[in-house]
Amino acid sequence: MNQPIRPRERDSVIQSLRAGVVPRVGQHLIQVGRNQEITTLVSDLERIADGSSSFRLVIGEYGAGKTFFLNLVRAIAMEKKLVVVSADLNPDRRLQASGGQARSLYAELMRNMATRSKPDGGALPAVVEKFVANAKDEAKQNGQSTETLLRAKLSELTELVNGYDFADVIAAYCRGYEEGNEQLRSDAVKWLRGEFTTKTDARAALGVRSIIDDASVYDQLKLLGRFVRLAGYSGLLVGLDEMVNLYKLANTQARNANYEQILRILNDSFQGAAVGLGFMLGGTPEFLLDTRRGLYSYSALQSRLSQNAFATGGLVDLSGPVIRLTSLTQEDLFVLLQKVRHVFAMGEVDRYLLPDEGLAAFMEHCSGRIGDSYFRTPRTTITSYVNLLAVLEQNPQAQWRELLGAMEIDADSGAAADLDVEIDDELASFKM
Amino acid sequence: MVSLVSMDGVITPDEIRVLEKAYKALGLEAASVFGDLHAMSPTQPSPARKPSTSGFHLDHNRVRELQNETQQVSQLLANIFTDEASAVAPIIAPIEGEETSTTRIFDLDHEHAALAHLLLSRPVWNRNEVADAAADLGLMLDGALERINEASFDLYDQPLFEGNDPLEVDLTMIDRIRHEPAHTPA
Repeated sequence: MNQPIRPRERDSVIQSLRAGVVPRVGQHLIQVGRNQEITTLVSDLERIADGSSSFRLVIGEYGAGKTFFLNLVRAIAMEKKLVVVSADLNPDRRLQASGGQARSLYAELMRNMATRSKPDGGALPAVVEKFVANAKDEAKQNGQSTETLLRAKLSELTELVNGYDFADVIAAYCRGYEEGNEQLRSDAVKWLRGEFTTKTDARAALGVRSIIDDASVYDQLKLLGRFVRLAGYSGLLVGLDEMVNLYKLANTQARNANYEQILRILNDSFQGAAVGLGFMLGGTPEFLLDTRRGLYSYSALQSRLSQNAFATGGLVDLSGPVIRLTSLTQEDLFVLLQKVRHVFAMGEVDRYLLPDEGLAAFMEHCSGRIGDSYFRTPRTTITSYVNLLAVLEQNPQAQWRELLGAMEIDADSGAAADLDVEIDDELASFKM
Repeated sequence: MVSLVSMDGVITPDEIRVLEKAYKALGLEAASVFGDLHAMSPTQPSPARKPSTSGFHLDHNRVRELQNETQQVSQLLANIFTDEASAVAPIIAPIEGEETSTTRIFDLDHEHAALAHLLLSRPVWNRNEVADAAADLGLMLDGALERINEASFDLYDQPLFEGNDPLEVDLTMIDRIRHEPAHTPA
């Protein structure tokens, strides 16, 4: 636990936990266990950076920490110079659709595009400009025109769907900059974000024949994977959370169309058909295992996922595409509380606001109040824990035993009285 | 029952279907099949863990194991988030033959270094002001900012500025640039 803790990361972690949301930076400071899972994803990211591809389903029950895990991997990816796009699925954002829902997912992904220096999203113009600026520098050195060089660099993309138009749009962006034409630049970005809804509008604005529509979303992501590499990043990671929304689709045909798309992504990844592109999909066990509505209901996916979904001979098999996150145990939570305490104290042991006994007492208190759910779905537990730490920090004279004791008065459980006695006995010599 | 099915390490859709039927026949919630299957830990193929409903008890051996594993994972992550040492030594060095007020930062080219320098002169900038400055230097704003922050990350594991509009510059970077010419790995 001797990592340096930056104030910014500490504040982000504490504030997020207090608000009951997953932190966007500094997740690594409070990661508990899951060594193999993280190592696996890190090697995935390295594969993507090597120009290969990857596909992972991150499966866990509500509260198991899927979103936390996905965010941690996002942060690692950015640190490894990947561009990251991420979005939650919902009824209006799907992988495959005919009513604009897939394009809407794409637009959301593009809005959330993040890089190491723009971790909060909105990085699309920066990525494009980095590519154009590099091309301009190179063109200047070679005495070529920027547009010629730009086109030459993008020529490898033209074999892909929408590749020609993509190159045209990037060239338009560059022209917009050189001619001081703000409108042209913003139209180019609008096209890249998938925000043109009709071909007529796109043609009028940029002279291109196509737009990014429902049918071309995955192809466009493949194209982007290559493009970001041309711009000097190591690859593209696509993170999709709340995949259970596909499971919830009532229409079998619509559901299967989405699963077919997942199959295509999976196959491409296994066959190495995508370059510098990784997918990471977060969902619940039902989404994977349900044989009527889940991924297992789609026979081609079933055969690819079921073999590797569970390990043999007591070993964890992480070579398969499914990463299984088990729900937290009490012990996991205990170590997590230790980590949070450590971050709260800026890594200084002298500044710990609670001793280990205090953590156990807190957990016992929660256990008495809300039963097992306090560690299985730990969101509220952690929020009240951080609140407790905050009170202790601001009131150095306060005794945690009394604070816990005061919380006890609200609870009408008979065990509370026993708890008080136990703690007093154990911690009679404890000083703040 | 669930452990029986997963005994061979492979759970097939047919097995899941059988389980669902069996759960129904036994009056159990059929939907809980998935959660139970999921909870079967591959490292402990023996019966699924028993939820400790009977009061609070911590397994201290398990806590120690977890602390060790967490220590390893922290180390792994620390290595990732505090980058490998960079060998670029001269961070600020006057560019020979040019005006002495312009120094080189992060090994950036002249224009980007000038923009980085300008940023370091104030804690907060409106985007418009920076855009004007970038335009004067012949730089595209977003691309230039991206390059500056990347360079800052490469050397110091932290950005020079944050935010989009306004941009907030981390002025402590001035000291770091002056006093930590070489990157120190964790």
